[in-house]
Amino acid sequence: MKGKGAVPGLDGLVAQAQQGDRRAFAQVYEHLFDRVYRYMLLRVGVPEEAEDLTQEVFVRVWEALTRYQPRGLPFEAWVFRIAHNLVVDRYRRQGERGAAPLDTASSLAGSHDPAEEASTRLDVQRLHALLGHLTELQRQVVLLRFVAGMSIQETARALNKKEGAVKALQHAALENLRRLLTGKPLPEGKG
Amino acid sequence: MTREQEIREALSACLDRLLAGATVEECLRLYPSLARDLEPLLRTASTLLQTTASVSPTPEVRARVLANVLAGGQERRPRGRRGVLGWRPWMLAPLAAALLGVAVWGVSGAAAQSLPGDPLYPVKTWQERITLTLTPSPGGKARLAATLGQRRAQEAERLLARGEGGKELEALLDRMALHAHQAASYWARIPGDDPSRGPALGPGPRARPLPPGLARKEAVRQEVRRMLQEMVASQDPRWQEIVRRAPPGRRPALERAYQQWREEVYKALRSLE
Repeated sequence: MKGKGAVPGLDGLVAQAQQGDRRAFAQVYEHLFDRVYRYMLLRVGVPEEAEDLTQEVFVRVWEALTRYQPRGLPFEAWVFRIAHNLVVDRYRRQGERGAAPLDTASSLAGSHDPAEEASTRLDVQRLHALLGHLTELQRQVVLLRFVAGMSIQETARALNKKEGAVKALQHAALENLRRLLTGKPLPEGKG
Repeated sequence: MTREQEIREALSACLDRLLAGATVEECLRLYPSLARDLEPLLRTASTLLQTTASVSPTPEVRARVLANVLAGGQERRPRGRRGVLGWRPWMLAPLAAALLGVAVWGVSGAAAQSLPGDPLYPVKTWQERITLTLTPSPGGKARLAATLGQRRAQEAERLLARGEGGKELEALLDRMALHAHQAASYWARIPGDDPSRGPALGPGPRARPLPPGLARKEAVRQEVRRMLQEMVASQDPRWQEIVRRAPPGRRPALERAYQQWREEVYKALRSLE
């Protein structure tokens, strides 16, 4: 299955934007903006910073567009790889992991009643904090699959992993999130 | 295939369906023997999807980021307490004013007179970008962007007078379109908009003096709108003629750039109505 971003016409718009067509680039931007912004917000947890980083992603996309090769990574995977690299750079510079301390897990947990689990409502801040308890790869898979809307195949290409490995990471990530949402500790070595 | 692998495969297929809009129940019906294992994971995924979908940046954020991206990312989101390089806006004001003077009323020496294709032209546009970045108020940025649009039009005239202008003309039209877009976007960022007041400066018994914020915004609106209108009046017929006379090989690209500029400038004018 193709990711939800793989709409007909996107490749054509990208090709026009590569020729310097601003209008085409604006359409590509419209198509991707929400997902890139959500990705950044869930990575950094602060709207103002997410806005800055989103802007930086599109600046880099615009600047590097002429070098993009359609036969390499799918365009959206290429954009989210730029986004990922930007976040990595940002954390490297700041020397922080960007995750909530582990001892806050219980305060972030939702209802302990399984009956209420189905209706558990998350807000973005809490989701950001929960994602901080996953491994970097699990977090990447969750963000690329559920925020960027990419398929397993696209996610695997973006992360340079095998599809089977992505499926395993996805399974582990959802299992860990489920445990965190229900207030259960993560098994040793799984977080 | 082990049961764990079976669950992973089914989970993956179900998540694709959830992403495409299916419900958890619809997915579970496809895998009755695995439903007990899949259900909690799919409910978690569904919650996650609902939460992320609820994040929706405002149209202002969307427009502001695009304007900045097309301007080369030079103009950053306005910060509440700290501005560029962590300086407070009032610290930047004198520097911005000095650069504004330099950029708008004559860049030092030869760079100011340079045209696209000249070695010093990048210096001139770099100074302009810096000035735009350091101009502290959105109103000042809007005026400057409109001024820069006029400057690009003058550069095109000078190129044509020298009998030059191939790809440079398209690039100038692209820049004119960008500056029109910037002018309207920066204007929209001026605080003080209050839609509940109805049309600003509207006639009739409801009209009342504008608060200072709105009055400033209105003044910028009128000035920027006038500049853009003058530009359309002088440039539109001129560019039609330039496109018509262009060599056949160059005409499609020039026509595209011209149409793009017209769209942007009329869009900017509509947003300034």
